[in-house]
Amino acid sequence: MNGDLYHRLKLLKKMRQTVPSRAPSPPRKPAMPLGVPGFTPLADGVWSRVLRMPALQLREVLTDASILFPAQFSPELVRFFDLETTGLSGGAGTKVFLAGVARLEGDTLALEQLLLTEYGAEPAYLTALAERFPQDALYISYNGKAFDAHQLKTRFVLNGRTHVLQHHFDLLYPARRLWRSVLPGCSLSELERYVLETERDQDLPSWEVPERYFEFLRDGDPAVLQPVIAHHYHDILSLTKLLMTVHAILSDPRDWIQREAVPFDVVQAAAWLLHRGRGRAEHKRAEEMLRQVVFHTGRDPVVRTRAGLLLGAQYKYFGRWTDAEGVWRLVFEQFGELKAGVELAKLLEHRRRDPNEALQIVLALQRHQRPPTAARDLAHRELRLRRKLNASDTA
Amino acid sequence: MSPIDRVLGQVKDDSAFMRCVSRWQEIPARGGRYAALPADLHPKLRTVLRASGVERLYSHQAESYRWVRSGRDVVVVTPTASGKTLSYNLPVLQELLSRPEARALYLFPTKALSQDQQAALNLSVERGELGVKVATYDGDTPDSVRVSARETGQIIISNPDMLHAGILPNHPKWIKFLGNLTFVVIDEIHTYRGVFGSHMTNVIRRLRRIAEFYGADPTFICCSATIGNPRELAERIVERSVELVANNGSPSGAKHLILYNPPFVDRVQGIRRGVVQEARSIALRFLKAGVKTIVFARSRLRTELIAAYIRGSLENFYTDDGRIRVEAYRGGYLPSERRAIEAGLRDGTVQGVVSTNALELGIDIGGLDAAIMAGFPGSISSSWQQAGRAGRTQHLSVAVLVASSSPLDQYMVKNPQYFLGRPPEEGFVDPENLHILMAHLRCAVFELPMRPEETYAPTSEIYLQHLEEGGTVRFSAGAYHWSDRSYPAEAVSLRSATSDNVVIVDTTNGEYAVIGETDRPSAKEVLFDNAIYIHRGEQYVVTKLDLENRKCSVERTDVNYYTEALVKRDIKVLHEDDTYDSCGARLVVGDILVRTQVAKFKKIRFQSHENVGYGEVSVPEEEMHTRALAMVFDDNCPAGKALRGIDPAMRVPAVARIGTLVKNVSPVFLLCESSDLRAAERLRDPHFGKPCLYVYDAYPGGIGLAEAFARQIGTILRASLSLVRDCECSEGCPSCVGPRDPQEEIDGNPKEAVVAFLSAWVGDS
Ligand SMILES: [Zn+2]
Repeated sequence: MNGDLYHRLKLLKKMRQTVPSRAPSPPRKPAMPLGVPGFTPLADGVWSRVLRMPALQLREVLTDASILFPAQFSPELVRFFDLETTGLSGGAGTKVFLAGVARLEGDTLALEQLLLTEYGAEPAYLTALAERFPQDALYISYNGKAFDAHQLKTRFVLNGRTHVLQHHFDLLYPARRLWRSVLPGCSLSELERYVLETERDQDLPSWEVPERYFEFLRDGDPAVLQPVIAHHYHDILSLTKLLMTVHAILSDPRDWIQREAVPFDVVQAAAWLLHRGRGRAEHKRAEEMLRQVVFHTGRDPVVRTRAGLLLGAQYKYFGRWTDAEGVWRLVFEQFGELKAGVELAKLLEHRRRDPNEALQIVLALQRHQRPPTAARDLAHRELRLRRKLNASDTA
Repeated sequence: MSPIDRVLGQVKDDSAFMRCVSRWQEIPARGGRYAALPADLHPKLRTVLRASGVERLYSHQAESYRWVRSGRDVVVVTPTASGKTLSYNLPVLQELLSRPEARALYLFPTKALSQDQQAALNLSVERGELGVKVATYDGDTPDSVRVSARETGQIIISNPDMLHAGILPNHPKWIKFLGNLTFVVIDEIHTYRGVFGSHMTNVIRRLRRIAEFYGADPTFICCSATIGNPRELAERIVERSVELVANNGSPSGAKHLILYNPPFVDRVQGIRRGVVQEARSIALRFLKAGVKTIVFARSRLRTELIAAYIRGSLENFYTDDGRIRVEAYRGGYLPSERRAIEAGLRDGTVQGVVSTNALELGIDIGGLDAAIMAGFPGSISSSWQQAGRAGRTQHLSVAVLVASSSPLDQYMVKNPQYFLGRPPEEGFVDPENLHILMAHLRCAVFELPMRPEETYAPTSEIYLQHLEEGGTVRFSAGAYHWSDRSYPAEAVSLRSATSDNVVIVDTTNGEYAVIGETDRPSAKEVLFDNAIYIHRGEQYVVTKLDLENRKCSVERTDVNYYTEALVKRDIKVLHEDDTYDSCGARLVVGDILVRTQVAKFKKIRFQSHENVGYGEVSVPEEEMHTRALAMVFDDNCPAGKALRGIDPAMRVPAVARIGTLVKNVSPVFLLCESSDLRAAERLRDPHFGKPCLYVYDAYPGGIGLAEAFARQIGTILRASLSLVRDCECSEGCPSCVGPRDPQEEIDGNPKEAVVAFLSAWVGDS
């Protein structure tokens, strides 16, 4: 606070007695007509716009999306959503001013945006949102589970209401698995550029979103909001496209590998199928993908190793020892991988009853510098194997 | 005969020691006053108490319990080791057992303390299987634990900073807790004074506002050390009328209080033997005799130094039990290290400890036999907290205050009556400080839209309208709404008056360690390039003051001088709020604008206080609005007449030195440091047209010091007179009015002039 201002406030305080309780609030420029194409008023300070587009393919995807989320959610119960807020740090003072929700209506996608044009209208705004955000729907967002959904809940609490979105499918998680290791970053805009291969004409930096809203509140000129509304609209459309891409990759990753359309982390895709897939078919698909990678000599050794370890663990889990031995042997012999070697030694010792070969593998593993715990484990293993061999010699 | 009886007997026979003792006071043992466990006490709680040996309560615990149960807010004055925690735990646990959905918030001024508190509470809660869930919520609480703390913690232990920046701005996450908030415990409320206290009042306003939003109206239970105005301070912090529980019912053993003034090394310069050496030799005497001893030092450096000296001296000394173990203890140690030392003190494996005031607050270290204060701890209430570290219920104990040469220390050892009566220091706050108020108003609007009719502060609407003009809030549908991207609590530190602070960075050996923060106006006066900055007893030299980036780089150094800015101050009175004739002068309290220009600095040698050189300073002029008390010496008032009674050449130096004196003495009466106050003299003041002395708040906007000073002015002036009159020097020294300054080029004796002026002014009674 600078000195002048301080002085002025002090003087104001002294003159307090003569100040009326509140000067009538200065007339503000009317916010109507809003001038944003397509928006209609729902209540004082609450505006809405619905845009519809064909969504045949999306409906197909949502009808059979069990690889992504539980089947209990019919396509009609799925919502794509995104919010724009007055700040990024959260907290009680951060308000939601633009909420978007997209859902299927027959074979079309109805994307509705709801705009709050005055803070005082928040109760009416939340009433409109409550109608459009049923609590039992499944909400698909990008990084919305942690932030947006929480912010929405906060607004309801502050208005003395309870409204909690219970079910989420946050695309951030599968997207990170598929692309974190192959893309420079995993923000929605990076995914748009590299995965969806769509480029926006001009996009807003995120700090500009609240600034434009404040400017609109001050001056009442809806034109400054236009880019925010467009940005928000595109974010939701990208959500639907991203969902379809993720679904396609997980449904038939082989197809994507062959097309080499967009690079993605095959091993992570297989891991997703193994962990989240509910059917035998998905497991088979994952195994096949991993086998292709492991035995494909042209591929990066690091990726082949990761794939081999995952595949070996999968075989081990189902007691397919011969398959497991093949994979571990390959990864150990070609890349000297510690974990594969240890697994192989264990298998030889306990399953194949071949302590001699097991010892050879342990000795080979010990030729390299290993982390202390691993080194101790190897030494221990060596000792035991030697004791076993001695015992059988003397017998 | 116990070791302590024996060593006290030896000391009494030591004439060299006794020559330095200005007072030896025996405080007799005091029996406890007890009350039966309350009749309505929950059976489970009764069982827990019995299991830990509590069959009855101290009277003050019972009194606090009664007030709280009847719904009243209360402040309990609790000396060290008086069973403080039970004063609040009992009514809180009672409620939680009968109403499990009730919630309590415990606020401790520091984080370390809240962790100790949780440990203590957990212990009792588990032991009795009360099933009450206690959680700590502070900056160190992992995210994974936070959710469950919020959802299920019945007692949340936190600190004001976390409440301010973490809990309140996110209150919708705390709906369950805040909606059932039944108690707020504010421990160590005497630490909430000045800047910190002014912030605290605002944080409590915000808390009550949010609690009310969720339909809760908690009862406040405050605990205070013994200070001059515990009830008033508590009422200023929670802004409700508060019941005072001041009659401590806990018993205490007999205690000897020894005020020790080290012998002169140089009487003319007023130099005495150093506190470090003297404290060490007294501690050694006690330790060798088998007396468990704690030494309190005023800085971290001194703590380490004294501990090292003592250990060195004990190197070849063995008792029947082997070596004597002495540890240093201070902030900056790892929690585990501190816990280990505390445990060693409790179980007796550590016989001696040298500590900063970190051990003054309620950490359990069991009973020690002797407490030695190496220098006056800054306030009498602190002295008693520290002295209280020695003494178990049934045993004799001793506390020794070793005085330094500073005026305040000298005043204390020469005026022991302050130690023995009611501690005189007053805590004060000014929640209406404009900087602090505006900062919290922003936070409050962020937390919940504010209606104009709300009375957050007496004139908050004006400030809201101002914020609205600036665009950070917006009036809509009958309330002011937050309308900004920022998270306002982030920008507000409860430990400083403005956010306009300069950060002090230690860059010794290429390190980068933030060691402190100061407001910009002070930075220009103490952190100019080449200034010597003393922080917790360590010396640093300023390598660069970068005002633009709010950063001051310093490096550790070891020179034999300190620096003092030569400050040109221009004071303009902006508004006179109150004028009254009192204490022989016209007193005016109001707003002033201080323009400060520093162009030069002096280098002053330690000990001798000689001026050993000058340096140039180039910092821009500084303006500060603050609160001041002006003492105007009108012609016909006693002060005016007294001033005319002294040699005209001596008038300016005399008034200036009274300014120095009152600054030095005021910590006896106000809970502040002398650096919190500034003084400026005018022989002919342009505003009043008369000679006058300004005493003003060193914080922008003021923190209540000027007003508190005005209330105590008579006492402060009389204390100043006795300090200078009783000083052993002949012409003034650093222990009273400061040494003679050759730059002043005056012939007269400043000490005589000051004594003459002050005694004529305030009378000689
Ligand atoms: Zn003196």
